[in-house]
Amino acid sequence: MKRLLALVGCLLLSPALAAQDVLGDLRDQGLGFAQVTPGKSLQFPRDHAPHPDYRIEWWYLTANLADRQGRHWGLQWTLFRQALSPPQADLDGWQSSQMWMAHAALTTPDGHFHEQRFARGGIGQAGVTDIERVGYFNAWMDDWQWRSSGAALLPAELRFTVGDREISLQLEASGELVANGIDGYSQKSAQGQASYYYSQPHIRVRAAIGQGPDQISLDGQGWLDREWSSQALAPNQQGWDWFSLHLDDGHKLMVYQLRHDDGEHWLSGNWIEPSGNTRLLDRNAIELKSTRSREIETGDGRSRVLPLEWQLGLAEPRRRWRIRPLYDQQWMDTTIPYWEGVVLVEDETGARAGIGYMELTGYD
Amino acid sequence: MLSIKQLSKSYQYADVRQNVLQGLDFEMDAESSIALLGESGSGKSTLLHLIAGLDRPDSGEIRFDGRRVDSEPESALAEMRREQLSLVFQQFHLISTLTITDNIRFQAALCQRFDPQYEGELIERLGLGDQLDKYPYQLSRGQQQRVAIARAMLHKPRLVLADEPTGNLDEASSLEVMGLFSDLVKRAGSGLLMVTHSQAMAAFMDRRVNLHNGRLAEIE
Amino acid sequence: MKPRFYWILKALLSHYWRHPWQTLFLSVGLVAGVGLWSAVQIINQHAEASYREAQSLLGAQASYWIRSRRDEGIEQALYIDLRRAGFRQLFPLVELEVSTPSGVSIRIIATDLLALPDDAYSDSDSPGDFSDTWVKFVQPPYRAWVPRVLADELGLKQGEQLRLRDGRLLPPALIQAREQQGRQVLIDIGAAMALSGSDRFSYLAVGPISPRDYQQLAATLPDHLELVENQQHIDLQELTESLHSHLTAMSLLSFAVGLFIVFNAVRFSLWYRRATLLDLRLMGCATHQLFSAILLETLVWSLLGTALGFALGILLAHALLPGLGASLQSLYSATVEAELGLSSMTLLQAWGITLLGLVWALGWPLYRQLQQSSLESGSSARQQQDEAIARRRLALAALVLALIAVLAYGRISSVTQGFMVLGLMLFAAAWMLPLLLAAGLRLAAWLVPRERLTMRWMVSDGWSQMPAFRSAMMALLLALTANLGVGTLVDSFRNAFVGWLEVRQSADIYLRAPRLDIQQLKASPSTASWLVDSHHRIGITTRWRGRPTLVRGIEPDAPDSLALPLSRWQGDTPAAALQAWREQAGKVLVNEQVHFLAGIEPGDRVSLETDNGLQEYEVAGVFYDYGNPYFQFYLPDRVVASNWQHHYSRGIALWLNHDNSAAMQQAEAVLKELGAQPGDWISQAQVRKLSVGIFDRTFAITAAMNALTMIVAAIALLASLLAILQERLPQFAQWRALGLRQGEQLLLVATPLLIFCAIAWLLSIPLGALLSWVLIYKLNIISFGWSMPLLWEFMPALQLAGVVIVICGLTLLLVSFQWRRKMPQALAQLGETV
Repeated sequence: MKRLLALVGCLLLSPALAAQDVLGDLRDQGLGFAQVTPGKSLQFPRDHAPHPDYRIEWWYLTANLADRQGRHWGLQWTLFRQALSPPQADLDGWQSSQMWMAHAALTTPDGHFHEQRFARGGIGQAGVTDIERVGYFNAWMDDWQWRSSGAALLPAELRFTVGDREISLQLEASGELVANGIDGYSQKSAQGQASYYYSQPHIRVRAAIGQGPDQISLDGQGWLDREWSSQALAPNQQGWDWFSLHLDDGHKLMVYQLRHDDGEHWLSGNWIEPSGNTRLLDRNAIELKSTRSREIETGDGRSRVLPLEWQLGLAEPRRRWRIRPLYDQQWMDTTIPYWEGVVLVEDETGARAGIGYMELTGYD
Repeated sequence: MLSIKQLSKSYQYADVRQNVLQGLDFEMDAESSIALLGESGSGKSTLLHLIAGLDRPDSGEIRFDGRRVDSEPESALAEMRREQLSLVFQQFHLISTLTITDNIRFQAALCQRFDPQYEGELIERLGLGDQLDKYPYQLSRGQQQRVAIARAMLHKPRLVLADEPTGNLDEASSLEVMGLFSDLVKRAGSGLLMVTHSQAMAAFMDRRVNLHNGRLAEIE
Repeated sequence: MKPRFYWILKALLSHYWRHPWQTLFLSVGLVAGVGLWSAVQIINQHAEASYREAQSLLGAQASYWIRSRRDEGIEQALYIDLRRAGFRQLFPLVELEVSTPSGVSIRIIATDLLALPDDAYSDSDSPGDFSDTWVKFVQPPYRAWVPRVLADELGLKQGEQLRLRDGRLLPPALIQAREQQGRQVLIDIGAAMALSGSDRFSYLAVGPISPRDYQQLAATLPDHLELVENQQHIDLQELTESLHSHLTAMSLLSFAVGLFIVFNAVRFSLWYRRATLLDLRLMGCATHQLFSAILLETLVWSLLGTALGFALGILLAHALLPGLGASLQSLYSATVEAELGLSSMTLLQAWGITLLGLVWALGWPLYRQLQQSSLESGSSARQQQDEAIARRRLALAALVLALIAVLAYGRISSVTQGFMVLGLMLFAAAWMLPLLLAAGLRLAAWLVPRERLTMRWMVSDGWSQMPAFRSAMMALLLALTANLGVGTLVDSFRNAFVGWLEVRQSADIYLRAPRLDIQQLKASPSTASWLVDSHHRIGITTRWRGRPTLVRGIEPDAPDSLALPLSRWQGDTPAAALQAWREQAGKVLVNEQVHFLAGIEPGDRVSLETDNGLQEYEVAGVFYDYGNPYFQFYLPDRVVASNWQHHYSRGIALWLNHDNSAAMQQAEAVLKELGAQPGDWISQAQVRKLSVGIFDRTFAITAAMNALTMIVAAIALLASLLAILQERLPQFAQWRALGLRQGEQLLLVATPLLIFCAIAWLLSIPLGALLSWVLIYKLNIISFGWSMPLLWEFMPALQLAGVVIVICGLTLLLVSFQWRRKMPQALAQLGETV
């Protein structure tokens, strides 16, 4: 089963490269697709809708939640879009070149669960609506669905499943959208690779897992990442380490490192103040290093060594945190396997400073 | 009738070459009878086979009534055997599926020289009158050899080649059969070359020759 | 191993080194027998495994189907709605039936591979650069995944586009296949819709589903759709059982023929090792040691025979499978995997029957030889007597077999029993053969004039050759009988089938376009110039007495309805019965399958489940329905329309005006105008070509088995002749010494051979007729439920005589070459004491 899923995954992510190189697509030249250029301002709600001229795109929600006992929970729901070829106006329906993939993951105090789905575009099985056209936001695949109640992204209800667990989320904005990089232009390498990238780090989340008397209610905060591009990785980039942190003092911090197989890694991020002001963090402003790697079972009959604990420091404000996973086993054994899960943030004294999500990709 | 000059024949056994006949010379007149004596393995049967054209010599020539037996094609030799020769062996080689009558007539039928009167004479002389409708396996060995003799004689061959014809019989019947045989050969005007190791049998013949070291020597 | 045992074994087995020809024949007999048997077993088990997988589709389990009750297909929007309602077990399928310009029928299956349930993705997919493969599969211009066997058959190369009869092109071919693809071409559903011009799915498949979800799904489905359980694996097993029994029977026959060769070779090996065995015993070897040595020898042969035979079986199965797979698909809609699956069980079974056969053929006679007194010599007189006794015993056994066959004949109720009776019959004939051969020799001897001594001798030499030829002749008899019997069956069937097609398919165009309005077509002024008559058939699919059943509503006054050929009828004449069916309510016509398999006679009443409850109909007649595995009922169309709300169109037949030479072109133009797609209709000639093509494919395997059996019998003959040559070389040499010519010598062998062959051939004619009679009038009816008249022709028998003569000629030629090689030495050894 693994192998076939890997194939389907390649279909979504890498038409031109071999199956093993699952991130290859992100490095592809993207010829014939629209290119990401600086100086183009994002427009809402239009940019919540798909950008089919670009090769890849995602709607990526993570949520750090707590139950009544105060235990940590986490949720991830992602919709990926991929164009197999530059779209042509006359090709719709089954002939559409758009393919969709969706991931859902649940981190509970007892363990980590995930599910993956695929669908063809053009036939209505999966997609994202244009708010301007239909009056509400709707992103879905089969019976997984994010639907807003009005002509904005939020408030909205998100329903999905992880295995046989039914999950429903009530999402509300508690702050403004944040354009990452420079006005949403997020550079990914010195060679010019870039994406359009905005986030909604201020989401109040109320979640219900399961039904009936066993239903579990959770509360917490969510973070939506929206990104589209035709070429996001440079040829010498193998993967990334990504952090989205909700600090207890109300700040939000997004930091990522694109790992180069030669020379220095590409570091970038955004420091978001409670007021909504955001500041681009460049390579010199970020100090990121992994402090401990551990080997975990990754479900496909093998194990991987992953840098699971980190030390993150900023030059301005001058602060330093320790980041460690809630627990190690939050591996996404999907077509593109990666680690994505709840992390705890501590300050230099070891006191709790926040929570968040960490994503580690390209560790093969 | 039969003239052999400088006849040589050897056999290869594994890596040993055995010379059986070495420059053998031999003459035989028509209607004469000769006993071919010699130790076992001296090449008596080989000589007989060469004369009948059943085997080919290494060198030398065999002339039978002017024909070169050593070099004629097999089809001509088959013709020669059926028309001019008869072979009598220790094993009687009767055809088990045919009656005695048919066995007697067999070679005559092959060369289409069937003389019913002579057949009657042969049957009477060999005492086979009661056996005619029987099959070979119903006969004693002595009787079977008589049938073989009748078969060999019915077409009145020029030459009869016999290889221990009575070797399978006890002494008494041997003498009896041999007497009949040599008598029949004489009457038919055939020549007889008979391989034997028995002096008693050899005594029936006009001449006796001994094969030793690949050559023949007359025994007086 | 004890040294003594080693020496015994060495002494015994050295025979096979000394006589490579006989070793070869023993191997050939074993390998051919095991090969033919295991080929069929492999095919049968492979097919059965495929039927079991009918629960799955393209690697995904399909427990249920969602179908349109009116055969109208399923709208895409509905499918999306169901998926969005959470029924992710569903996946859409489109099936298309197309044909190539040369008339090869091809089934296309299309799905959305991304929608298959997770269980669809097993480990069986081969590695490689799939990413590209998949992208190309789902994107225009798409790819057609063609199984290798089908590609080879169509001469289709990687990347080529197959052109269809109506000019459409399939996507570029990719030579590969998924599970359960069988002989079908797999394309993306988008490609299928582009190809067919339809935007509907043929049906939806339902993957593994929980009872709760099933309840919900059933409740959610709109009324015009039905959720039906996938019973295909059960149906297929039931429907195809007879076909597989037929094949098994033929393979066992081949195995038997192979065993005859083994018998032959064994007889020789026995004859030749008489002295060795005797010497061994005189030298003090215990019987049980010899016995063990022989047992070991048997074991070695069985392993050798199985290994090589099985390998041959795999090769044969590979060669035969595509044809059979195509037949199963066209007749039963069974998808047989194109790639062969092998089971170790088949291998074990093959070894089992090989060992059994060998113990019987080799072990037992050798053992018996050992039991004989060590000094008893096998004189020729004694041999002849033994032969005569053996012949009589065998004949007696044959009579017993024949008697059992006769007694059992009346009680045949299953296919297996039928084949057992046939087996008894054939073996009775085979065992009777030696006596008949002896009688034949006596007759020939009696016919030859007394004065023709050499001729009499040649005939009488048959007695000496008989032991060597006996089993070869039995093999030949079986092969000839099978050829004639099965050949007659196939010819009869073909004759009946083609004649029936002519009556049944009298229309010029067959149209399958559910949304085309026939009334509109008839009323249209544009049809007047070419359309003479039409027949719109409707129907439903149901189950009756547990078997898939078709209820058809046909127009009573349509030309083909008026001429429906009946095999049985109520009343005086078929015409009267048809008239009664047309004019009186409550009458039904049933196919022969209903008559033979369900025991329904004209005048009986049958109950059918309708929307208005159970309805009873009186059977007015039974119509021929060749090759149909299903029960079928014919009712007037208005009856079906009123009783089954969800009936659907089964196609429209159009009769053209034959005075109008452009009728066909006009018809096609109008049909296109009315929205029919090319491929929606097919002409009579094409239908017939397809039907007869399917027929011929079905029986291709029979012809192949027949030919192979004949080859095995030919090998048996050659083996016997060479054995005779070996055994009797000194005797032949002696006769050569008497002046026998080479030609006469060949004639000596050929005369009895020809007499024996003539007897076997003569006997095979009535026996073949009997075989075909039982096959046609008993087994075919029990198996398939339809009858046909036996068509006896003498030509095939004459052709077989020709084949036999050619075989004899060839084997004699081979033997005379051997002679030429060996005679000089034999002549040189003449007179030596053996």
